[in-house]
Amino acid sequence: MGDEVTKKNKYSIIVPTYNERLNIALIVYLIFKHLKDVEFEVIIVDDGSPDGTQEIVKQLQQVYGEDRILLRARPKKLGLGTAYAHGLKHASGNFVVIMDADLSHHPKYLPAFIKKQIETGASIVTGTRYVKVGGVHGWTLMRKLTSRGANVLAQTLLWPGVSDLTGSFRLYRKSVLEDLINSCVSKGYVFQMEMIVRASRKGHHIEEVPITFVDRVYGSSKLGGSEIVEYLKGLLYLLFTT
Amino acid sequence: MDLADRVIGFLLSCISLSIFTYYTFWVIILPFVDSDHFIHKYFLPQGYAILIPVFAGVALLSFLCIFIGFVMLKSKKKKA
Amino acid sequence: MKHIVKIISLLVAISALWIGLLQTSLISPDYPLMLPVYLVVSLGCYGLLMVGVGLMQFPTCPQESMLLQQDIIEAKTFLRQKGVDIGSN
Repeated sequence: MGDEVTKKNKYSIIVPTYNERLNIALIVYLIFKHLKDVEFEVIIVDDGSPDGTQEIVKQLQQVYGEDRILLRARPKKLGLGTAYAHGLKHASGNFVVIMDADLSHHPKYLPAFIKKQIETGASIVTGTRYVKVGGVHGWTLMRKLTSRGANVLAQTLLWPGVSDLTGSFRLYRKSVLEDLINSCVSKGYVFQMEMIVRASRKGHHIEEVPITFVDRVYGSSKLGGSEIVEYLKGLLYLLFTT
Repeated sequence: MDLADRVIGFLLSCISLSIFTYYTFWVIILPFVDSDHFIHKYFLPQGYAILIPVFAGVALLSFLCIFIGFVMLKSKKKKA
Repeated sequence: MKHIVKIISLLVAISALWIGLLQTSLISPDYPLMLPVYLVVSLGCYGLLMVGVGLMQFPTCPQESMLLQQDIIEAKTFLRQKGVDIGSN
């Protein structure tokens, strides 16, 4: 029965890129390697990268077919939230997967997302780094500490019922994502938090799967003072509007 | 590296648990112990049980405000 | 209902309970602020404990990084064969 359900579903994988020339090629290869018997398309939303990301994507289209890889470029950097909205407009699947292009999200977890969705019928499946089988690599003590502190703060104040609020590796039912994206206004990773909190408030069924998050250059992702302040602002905003 | 992080996590948990135990004892149990009991030597008078946390809270809040203000000023300069 | 309303009503309920307790003088009214401060301290301790426990049990995956390196090499070989220009490094 599971197989039949899979056949009807189509998954649109939206990957926003900016200067990810090499990574986008790697990620496309890995997606095609790990998603064998599923109908899917990859939508690459490139924000006018000067490093030739779009040329690479065109070459990839030659290899994998233009109907499987869609390039939907935008002229300049316009932000993450609108990138998803832009990609979503061109998505033809009934499910949408959102992931980062920098390979911190490994495509090998995609089957787990899809399986979880089919098993539970959830509207959103979100990847979590904070459970046993999941995890992170390459985070400094400071990064772990702030990430943990931020998580405890959000859990205590917002009661979202989801363990990883700022992760961005997620699978959405398309109609749900369309609805959410229109009601979310935040930027950066506060946007991820707003999406999942609003979804939880609207009563959507949310499930979690463990994922790993690998920083390839040790300590490359920094959390500075301004990020912390942005996060606190986002938290307050969500406290008053959701 | 990983182990060191875990040790720090363990220390944080220990600190938090000991503060909690000490404070609970101070506030909840001590009023029921006779005032000439030797255990009172290890605790300050009850009044301090309010003063110290309030001072700590105020200090923490002002630190937070200064931090946020500082960051906001810096980001404004960057934009200008 | 906005979430802030939930939290505020929770706080109001606690203060009402506290005032009620003070009125019935079940507890010593020498320090009327004692229990609220105690609650705040407990909350702070809880937060610190959760951060500590979280840090202690933060799952890490050093093997994933190695697996990823292998995947990258595999992907590069394949892409070169297909003539995708991914650079030399």
